[in-house]
Amino acid sequence: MQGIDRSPLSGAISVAALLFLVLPLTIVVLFSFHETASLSFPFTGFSLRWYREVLSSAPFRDAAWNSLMVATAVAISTLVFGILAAYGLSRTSSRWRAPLALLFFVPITLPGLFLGLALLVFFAQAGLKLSLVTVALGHFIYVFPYFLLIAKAALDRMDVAMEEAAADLGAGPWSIFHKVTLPQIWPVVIGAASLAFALSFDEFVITFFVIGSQSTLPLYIWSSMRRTIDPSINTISTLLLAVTLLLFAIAFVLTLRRDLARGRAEAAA
Amino acid sequence: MTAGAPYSVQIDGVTHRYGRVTALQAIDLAVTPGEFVTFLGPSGCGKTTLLRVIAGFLRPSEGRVLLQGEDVSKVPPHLRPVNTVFQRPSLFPHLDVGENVAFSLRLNRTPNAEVDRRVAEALALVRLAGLERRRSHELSGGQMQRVALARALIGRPKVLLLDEPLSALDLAIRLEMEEELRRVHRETGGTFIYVTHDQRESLALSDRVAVFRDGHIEQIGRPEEIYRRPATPFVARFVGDANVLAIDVAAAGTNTSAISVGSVTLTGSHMAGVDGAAWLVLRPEAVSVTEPSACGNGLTGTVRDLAYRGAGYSYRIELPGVPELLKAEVVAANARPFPIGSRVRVSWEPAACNLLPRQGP
Amino acid sequence: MTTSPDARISRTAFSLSPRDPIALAVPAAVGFAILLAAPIAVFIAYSLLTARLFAVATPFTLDAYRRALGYGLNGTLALNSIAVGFLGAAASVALALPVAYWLRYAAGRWQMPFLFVITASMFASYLVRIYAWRTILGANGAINQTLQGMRLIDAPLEFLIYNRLSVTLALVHIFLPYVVLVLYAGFRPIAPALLEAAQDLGANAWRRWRRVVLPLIAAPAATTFLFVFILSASDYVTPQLIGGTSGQMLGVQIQANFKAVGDWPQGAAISILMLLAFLASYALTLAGLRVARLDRIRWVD
Repeated sequence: MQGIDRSPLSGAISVAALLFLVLPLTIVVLFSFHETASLSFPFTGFSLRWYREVLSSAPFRDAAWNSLMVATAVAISTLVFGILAAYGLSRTSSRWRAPLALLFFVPITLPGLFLGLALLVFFAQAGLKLSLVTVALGHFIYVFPYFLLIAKAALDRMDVAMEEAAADLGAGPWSIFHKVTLPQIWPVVIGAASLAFALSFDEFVITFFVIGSQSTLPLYIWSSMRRTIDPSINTISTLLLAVTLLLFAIAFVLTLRRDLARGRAEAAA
Repeated sequence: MTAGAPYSVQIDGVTHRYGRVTALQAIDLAVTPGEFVTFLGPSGCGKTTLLRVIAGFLRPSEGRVLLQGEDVSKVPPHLRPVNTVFQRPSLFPHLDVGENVAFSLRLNRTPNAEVDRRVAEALALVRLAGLERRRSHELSGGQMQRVALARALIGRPKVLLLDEPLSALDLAIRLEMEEELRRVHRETGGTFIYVTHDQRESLALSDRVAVFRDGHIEQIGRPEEIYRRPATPFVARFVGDANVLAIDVAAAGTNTSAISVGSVTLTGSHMAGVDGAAWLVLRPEAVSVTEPSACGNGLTGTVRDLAYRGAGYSYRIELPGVPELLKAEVVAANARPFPIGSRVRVSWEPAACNLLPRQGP
Repeated sequence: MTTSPDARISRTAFSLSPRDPIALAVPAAVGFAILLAAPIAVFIAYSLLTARLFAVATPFTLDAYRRALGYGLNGTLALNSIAVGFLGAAASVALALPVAYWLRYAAGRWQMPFLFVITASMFASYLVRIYAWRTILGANGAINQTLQGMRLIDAPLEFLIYNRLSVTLALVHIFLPYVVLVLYAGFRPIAPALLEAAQDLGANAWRRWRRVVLPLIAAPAATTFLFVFILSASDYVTPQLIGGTSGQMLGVQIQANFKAVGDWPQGAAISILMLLAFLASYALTLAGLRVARLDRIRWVD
């Protein structure tokens, strides 16, 4: 505890940094409610006209629906493959653990540009037509490492002795997993899946390269940005923000609740 | 100490409050150069707070701190001629032992040759010579604390503050480190201010002990004084084991008085000056336990508990009319213990006990 | 069941079977082999093939690399990418350091709310951010409107957008939350007691930073810097949308080769050259950290 050094300078910088991060987004949200088509100050009045316009636009609804479908597919497949892989990597002492972990974490280090292009080229070579399926495949590779990171950390933190005790008492592998392991890690895992959904929903770069004739929401925003200059883009962006923030809140509450409960238990012990 | 030479540390009416809590209440204290003073007390009594005020990490709400006669109340910690050894060694993990110790010298741009010499000297002082290139994670807990000690002493601070530096160590290492600290203090002749809640440690190390309680100093004096003549029941109980019995002084004379312990009245040359309600403070080792006899001063009680201590026996004896059991430590190599339930006579030398005034029931 | 410790671990989940749990990771590994390893291999192969319009053909050749290195514009764009990447990474890290420091040591009860907002802002879509900056920096954007409204300027400031500055600003906005969180995690093991000890020994704030804080945060800071540098330098959306002419970067050229020009081998070659450059810088940084013995700090208490 430093009684005297309160670091006023870094405090000021921190507040400035927070404003820097938040203000631009706030302005976007603000103008989504603008009653006129202008995107510049002064702000004349509130209106929901852009929301009505956007939500009734068929291309928008198609794009949103596509994003939803892809994100759901990605979240579910990541969840399934991810839990298995996380469990496999966490509970093993095989010498394959490090190489496999490396393989799984490579996409984080590669810029989306490379991933998207490599996939494009691969699909072309394999004769696979570009569509939402190829998009989902691409998202899977991109999102998987993030899920794995979180799930594996949760499994590592868990006390393995519990599983051993269950085995000792006669539980088979599936019983152990679903009666001992899952109850311990499910909040973190759902939080990670929520993150996976959000990442997929937001993804633009890889999508851009491997999508067919359809559109996803980020792609729709991008093409709008090149065509229109009215607040409808703000509206779409705000809707996108709302969805991802909601998912973040879910993930946050789920992972934090677990930490709070554990913290309380440890403090009482 | 020659007249006019300033105290090493002088605390002048220091009060410290945070929120609604008063951690220190108008503390006055003067430490002479070369003294080893210990702040002793239970947790939350303010001893660490005072230490941090001296170090400069806390600014007192009232009062001032003087070092060598100079008011340093407004001086930040890094500019005070005071160094601290903390409870956890806090060695810099990115530096080896030598660079850790040399840290304060490097800040002053001391030339390399001198740095090497003084580091070697400091490490030799704490008996870790030759370990300059080791890293903190390669050292044991005791070794780390010794490096921290060397790091704090190398700058030849006027005052060395030690904040419970041994409490995180194992007992065996702690005893060894106590010896080291005494030796280092002798060899450097510096002023040491030591904080601990371990009363045994404080008696072994200090020139003077200040017993803290709830933000004020309950008693300050040489260890023998604190132990043999505690000023309050709190000090008596906190420093060593004690019997503190509520008694009444029936007739106070200049040299003798009559006291009633439970339902028995004793006369003897007790300490004068206390009348009426009093505390009788008696160390267990001062109590002698013998066969019951009906003559002279003494109490007869019943043994309720008995434990073998190697060097002797400790008894818990029930006395008539006295609510607590009397604790007695009898050191006798070949004595036969008095079994539980037996009647025994309990007595003590008048000079070995203390009478303290008692307020309330 | 007394067995060797290794076997016991694998029996934890599979007490009825001798299989190692790592078998569970095989499905994902297969997926990655198909969707990551194979594409990368094909991509590398493409860079070594002959170009046809929007296609490739044998024979294998190094022509694509020659074209990539020979084309003057590529060099300019590469330099631009390096400049923007470096600036973006430097600005992000420089700004994130005091924020992470404040959060760790001085924020007190503001720590949680701040971390919440910063993490939440990380979830804001990449495109939305770029769009936000376009509306703020544009001729009719927030800044110009405000300054004109306050009568500080007569005409809108043109230099705010469609150049390297706007690209860098947007990139910092995108990466700052991530850098703050990583540096905050890097600060966690540095106990305040350490800084207090340094202060006690005579170091003022600046010296504490230089001799204790910076060396201990060097490894996370350097790796984060590199991460942001690599991602910024290879970005193509930001420069395409708000880079104008002077703010163009190599990523755009790569993308153009694939989508517009149709010279896939050159696009692949440029990409791979970029990747190799990134790998080299990463290796150099790690080596530098190791030399300074700052790569792996062994914490004690």
